[in-house]
Amino acid sequence: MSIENNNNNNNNNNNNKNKTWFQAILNLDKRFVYIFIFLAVSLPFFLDPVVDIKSTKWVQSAYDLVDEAAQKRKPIIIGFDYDPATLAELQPMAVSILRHAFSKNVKVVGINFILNGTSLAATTMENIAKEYGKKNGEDYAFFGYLPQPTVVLLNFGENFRKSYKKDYYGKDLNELPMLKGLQNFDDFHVVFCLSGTGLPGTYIVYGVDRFKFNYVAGVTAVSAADYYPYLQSGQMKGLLGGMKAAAEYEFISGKISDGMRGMASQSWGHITIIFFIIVGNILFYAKKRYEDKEKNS
Amino acid sequence: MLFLKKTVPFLITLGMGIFTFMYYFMPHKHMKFVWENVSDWAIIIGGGSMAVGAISMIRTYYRKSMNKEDPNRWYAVITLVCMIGMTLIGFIFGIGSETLFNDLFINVMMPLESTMFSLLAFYIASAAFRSFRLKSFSAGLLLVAAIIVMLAQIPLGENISVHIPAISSWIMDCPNVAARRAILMGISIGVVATALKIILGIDKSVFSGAGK
Repeated sequence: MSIENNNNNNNNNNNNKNKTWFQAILNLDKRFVYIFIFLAVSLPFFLDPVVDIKSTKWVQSAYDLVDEAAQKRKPIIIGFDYDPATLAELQPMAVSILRHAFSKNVKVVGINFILNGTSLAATTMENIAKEYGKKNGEDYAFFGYLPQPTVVLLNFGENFRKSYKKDYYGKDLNELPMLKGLQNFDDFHVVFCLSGTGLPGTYIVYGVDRFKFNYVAGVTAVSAADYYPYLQSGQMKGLLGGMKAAAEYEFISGKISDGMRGMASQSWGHITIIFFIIVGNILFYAKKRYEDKEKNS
Repeated sequence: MLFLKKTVPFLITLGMGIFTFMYYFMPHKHMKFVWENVSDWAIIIGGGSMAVGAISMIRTYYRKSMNKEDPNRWYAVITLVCMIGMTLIGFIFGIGSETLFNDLFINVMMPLESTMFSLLAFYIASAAFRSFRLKSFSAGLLLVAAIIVMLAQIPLGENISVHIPAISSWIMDCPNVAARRAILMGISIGVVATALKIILGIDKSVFSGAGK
């Protein structure tokens, strides 16, 4: 009897140890998870940027539209509709498109429907324009912020001067040389909307559907899935989804910047999350199996 | 008072709703003339609504900051000081590039807002570890799809197998589009129904004084 009792006690102790082991990992303090993800995202910034990326057809299509604009000598529109919250994913796109456009002497008009992103957009345009020696009013123009995107887009389809009288810097639009002869969407080769909000959809409903222009949306990776129906229907000619799309654009342009630099962090971040999903499930099933065995015994 | 609070807003909504709807499909030259004036008003009202928002925010946070029993009242004080400070700096030094306003925005506001959004990564990792479980067939489908799409979003996916980006592309182009279309159609029908209810005055809860 005493030997049996001893064996049972040993088994119970082992079981308790196992149970503690399972539960300890499954109930791991979330701060450990946070430390893992912090290291996974921050350490790769000290590594060399990822430079080998294959471009998807939708990014290539966006790139080709800017190239076509250069061939046809038509300007493009960029809607800088993002704020600092989504800056990490959308700013590299804006920078890449601007660099591509300015390097091919394509004139750019910037507009903005997100109040928090106005000075961000202005600063971005100014900085990239400086890199290529482009001048405000001659090679690029920034119209600044206006509320009511639906009304502004409907007006833009007829004449943008209906909504925009002055640019961001307070200059009369009629005084800007690059805007001479430009009136509405027909005079621009492609319209980009870079946003983490629902604005890319607004551009489609109040702009593309009615005025039929080439349209590309640049969105955060998490919201990219929402816009695939518009690609199939032809309402969108291209889609830049998240930082990977920015990196792809940089790869096609041959100019390494924040998109490619951020890919290492994004890669390790994703790998860490996948690791946690797999480990979490293995532990969950191991625990379940152990509990079932315990019940049966 | 009820006439001013309910009937007048309803008549304006009815008139503008029908006009905007008609103008979208029939941009006749006479309608264009009206639209041009109306669209100016819409932009002015949009700008004005921001002022209303700012006033409302100041009132709410002022009340909070004056409540001495509230241990979090200092957050309200900080919000008010920052808001009034940025407004004054903007008025005094201007808001263009290379101004104090822009420097504060770029060096304070931008890192703060980016940091708030980046917290998502930590929550996602924690949720992935604790809650993303293979408990049923549908959960399994979701899990496998999520892993494939996540791998396709990084260069490693291509290096593991050329099929990963292809499968991810199929997931996004076919099942995702089918589901999104169904959701979009549902939402759109709902939006049209709600808009019609408001325009025709069936739903008057949007007007002031509702429920009184």
